[in-house]
Amino acid sequence: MTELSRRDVIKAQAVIAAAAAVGLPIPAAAQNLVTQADLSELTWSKAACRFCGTGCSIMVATKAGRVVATHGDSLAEVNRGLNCVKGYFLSKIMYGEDRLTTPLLRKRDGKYAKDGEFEPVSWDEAFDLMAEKWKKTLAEKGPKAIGMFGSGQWTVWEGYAASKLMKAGFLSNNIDPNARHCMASAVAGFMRTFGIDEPMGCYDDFENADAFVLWGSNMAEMHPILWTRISDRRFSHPHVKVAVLSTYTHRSFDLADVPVIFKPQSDLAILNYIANHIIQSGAVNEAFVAEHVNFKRGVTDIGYGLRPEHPLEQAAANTKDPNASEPMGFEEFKAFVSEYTLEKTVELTGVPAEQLETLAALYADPKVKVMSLWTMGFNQHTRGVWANNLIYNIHLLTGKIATPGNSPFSLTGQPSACGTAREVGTFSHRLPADMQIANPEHRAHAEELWKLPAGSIPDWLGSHAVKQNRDLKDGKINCYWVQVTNNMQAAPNMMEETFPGYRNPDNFIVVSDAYPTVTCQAADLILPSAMWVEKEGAFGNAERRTQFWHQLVEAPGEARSDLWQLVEFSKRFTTDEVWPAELLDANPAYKGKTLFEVLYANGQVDRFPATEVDPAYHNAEAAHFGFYLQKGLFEEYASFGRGHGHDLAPFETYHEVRGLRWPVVNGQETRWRFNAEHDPYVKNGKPFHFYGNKDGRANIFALPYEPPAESPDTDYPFWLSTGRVLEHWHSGSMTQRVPELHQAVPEALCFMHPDDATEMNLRRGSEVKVVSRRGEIRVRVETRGRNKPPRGLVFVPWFDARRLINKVTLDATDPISKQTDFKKCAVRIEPV
Amino acid sequence: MTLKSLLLAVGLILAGGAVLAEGELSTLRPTAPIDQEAEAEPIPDVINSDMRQVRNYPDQPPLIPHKIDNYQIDLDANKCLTCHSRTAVEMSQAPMISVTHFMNREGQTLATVSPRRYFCTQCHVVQHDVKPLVVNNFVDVDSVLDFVRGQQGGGE
Amino acid sequence: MTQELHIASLVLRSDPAQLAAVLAGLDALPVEIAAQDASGKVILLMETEQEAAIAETVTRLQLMDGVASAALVYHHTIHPDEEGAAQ
Repeated sequence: MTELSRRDVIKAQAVIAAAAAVGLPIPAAAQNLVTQADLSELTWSKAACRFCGTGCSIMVATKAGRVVATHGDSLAEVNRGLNCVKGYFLSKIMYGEDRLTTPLLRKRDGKYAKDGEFEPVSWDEAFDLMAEKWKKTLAEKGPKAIGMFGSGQWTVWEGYAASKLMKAGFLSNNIDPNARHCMASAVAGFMRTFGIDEPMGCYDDFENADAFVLWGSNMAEMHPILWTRISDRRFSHPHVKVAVLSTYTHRSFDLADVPVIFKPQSDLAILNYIANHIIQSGAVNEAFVAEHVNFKRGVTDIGYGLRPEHPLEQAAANTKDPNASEPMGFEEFKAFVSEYTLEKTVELTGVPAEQLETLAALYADPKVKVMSLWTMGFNQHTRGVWANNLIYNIHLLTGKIATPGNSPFSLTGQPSACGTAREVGTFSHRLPADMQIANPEHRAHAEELWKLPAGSIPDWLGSHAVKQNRDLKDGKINCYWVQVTNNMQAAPNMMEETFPGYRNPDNFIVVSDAYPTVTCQAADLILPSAMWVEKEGAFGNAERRTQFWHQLVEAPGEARSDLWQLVEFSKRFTTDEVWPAELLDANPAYKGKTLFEVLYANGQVDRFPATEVDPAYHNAEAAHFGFYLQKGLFEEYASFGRGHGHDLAPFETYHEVRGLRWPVVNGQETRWRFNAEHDPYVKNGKPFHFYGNKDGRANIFALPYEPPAESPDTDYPFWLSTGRVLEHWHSGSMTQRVPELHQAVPEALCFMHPDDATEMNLRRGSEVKVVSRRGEIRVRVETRGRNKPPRGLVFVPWFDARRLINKVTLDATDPISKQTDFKKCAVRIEPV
Repeated sequence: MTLKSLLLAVGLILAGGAVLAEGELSTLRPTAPIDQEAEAEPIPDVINSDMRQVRNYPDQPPLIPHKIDNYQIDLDANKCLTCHSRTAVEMSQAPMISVTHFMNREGQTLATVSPRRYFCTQCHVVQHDVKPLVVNNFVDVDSVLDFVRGQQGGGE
Repeated sequence: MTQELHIASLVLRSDPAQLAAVLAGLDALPVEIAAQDASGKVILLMETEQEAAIAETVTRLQLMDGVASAALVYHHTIHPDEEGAAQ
């Protein structure tokens, strides 16, 4: 063969990519070219892990258009070369045989029918029908009758484009991410205490703390790489202590010096007891409190976020404004927590007195730097916002905050729960950079940056996750688009709310996904999505670190990124079709424009040409739309936060570095916010400045213990807690398609105490029904696995589509954050 | 796996036929309609063959080819290291933990296992005797190389 | 070489009954046929110094009789200083 040029190699790769995309065999000439050119060389590029909120950086090897290997990125501060077992198998998540490669529509006799069967259709047919449904619904019922559900797995620009399409295009705030199920309580906790979202500390706290306290977090399984940093610290520094609190024993207890099992919901009492202990033992950092803290009394008896007609809501005094509070003084606060004595707390929680005292002493000792960590145990809680506020109380009373190792730290479950759901503002009540829909100044600011007519962003709060499912069931939302999430499996009370909502004949449900999930199965139209490194992306992790990756391979068949779907769909609407006549009459320049022109080809998002894409990488969206869409969206989005405490670096920087923690000011990331030594936004001349609140102070809240929405009784004698396992990420749609991960944990089991099993003549492997007032599933019993519940509690993970445990759960939410309590409801166990 | 099977795999993805069985969607829930319940399969056994498996790529952590029921890995003891530590392998004839496991966060090699690698089951998992739920069409790079060498020799 | 070079591959889906006519019609466009099959799928390769020519070609393909869709799958730009011999 004659000498090969680089040009020939690229041509071969071009042909291979196209052949792979449509399923044609690779022409022989192309094969030979690749062979002889550079076959044994791999191209390595960085990417962020597709799974949890830790935000590990991954090195990805590609060859001939396919991912062939992955490993932990040794240059990344987060994980320094490590991955968990899921991360090590990232190479395989895109290659499940059943990838969706063409839109699928329910049809009968060649036409769409709600009761039809799925048939492949073109993108044009899919979008034509969708646009018809959206237009009809908007014309007949207005913007409250359409809705969108996304996730913290959207890339930053996808979430931004979606939020913009809904809030600024369709003028509907009915958009919410599944992050609502995950950390909405953490968000509300931050806003109430600090007036600004996300942790003040960062992962560097792991190497600086003397004690770690896990509050309802099984980091050994759910944040394994952060757990390696805690175990490293614990074993390398013998003075370090680890306390683990949960309602059942799990793998994190293997490292626990202080293992605490408490009765469900009683964490609220433990938190108040610790505050009381700190005050009574004279451990209050009085200078810090005097300088930096306010005291507030929150309203109580706020209900459980159930449907308004539910007796519990009818009986509650303060369901109207559960977020209300009034100022109080330190002495009043002292009196408030004084009733949480050791004796009373032992009684409420079932925790031995010595354990409570040991735990309280860690916080009270001024020499011990404490990092508190929490995830779903706190957040999925009908008083989750309170739990968040109460942990900040403890850190604020002692001044153990915003310094290296002193860190109340809310972890996240999804790869971009912070970066996309929170910072971009894809919640139904939020706008970018912590701005609120309810605030007219914030709406006006967004309208200005988005070049929209004044008054266009609606002032009404959209429906949150659980409310959207109720609205679907009630026929209030009729057109619904779900992207990157498996909410049929994830949302609570599936049999009474989610499933009837999706199958309501009045509704048209569209689901975009890479794989056929049970949510797809319940949909009317399925759109095939590109995933992970099949598109250029950005995620933001739990320590405020923004990370980018390039598109490394092509999506299969006609799969397209969620971003492509959103922006392409916007071309099918004109302002005349979806905006009120008054708005257009007052702003005639917008008449007759497509939403694509108003939202994306607006002179800002389209201002970077496609030629700015790094020539070493393909970018399917830039190729299609003719401009560097991701960069344009990012830069427009970044304009919200720059100068406002959320500064992001220039776009290109993130392709170079292993992420940066915002605010990034003068090229420098910020590790400890609110701390004058580290945070350029501290401008009050004092060592600390809680600038999220106008008075520069953080708020300590007086909030009591209140009982859960549903507790075991004689008919339903067990607590049910749901959760995850290490090997499967969330609903398992990616990890269960990796054979090694499936074989590691092939099915969800019902973990229970061996004595409870024996009492019912059950043993390991027996089949049982887990039954609640709402639904039931069939599952096998596990009595000696990794989770060891106390008597009277069972744990069932929710990753397994064959065991849809959310048929059983209760859709009670925190009334402030609207986040579901997936950790507590009452069930009975019936032998099959 | 040869490139022939790679192409077959690619073809299968594209045909889209695997997704559709009589117009219904095949999901990870083949057992019963979403709103109904089928029998839960019995708990499968852990594969206890002690046969090592080929890795998909060099950085993949090896799978555990034996049972680890009741293995203690906690503050007090690590049962895995009683066979897999550097000093134990002569007696146990088990594979020694990789040299990477002696490195700390800064990349310095330590005298003993790095504490960040202490909890073995974060990366190493047993395998149960079950079939994959869905075929995975990942192809390792060596298979691609093998095929190409065959091509050059006038193979397939 | 002093100009940038753009290499792109495109996928065409055409009516199998009109495939022959479609293939004949491709002569008028700056593309090479890299592969095809009886179901009407055709893979085209483009090599051009004008990036705009790619989009223009896709548009012209989409307008051809018998063509159901034409899509860009791969696009790579070689800069003048990159072009070299075998590696």
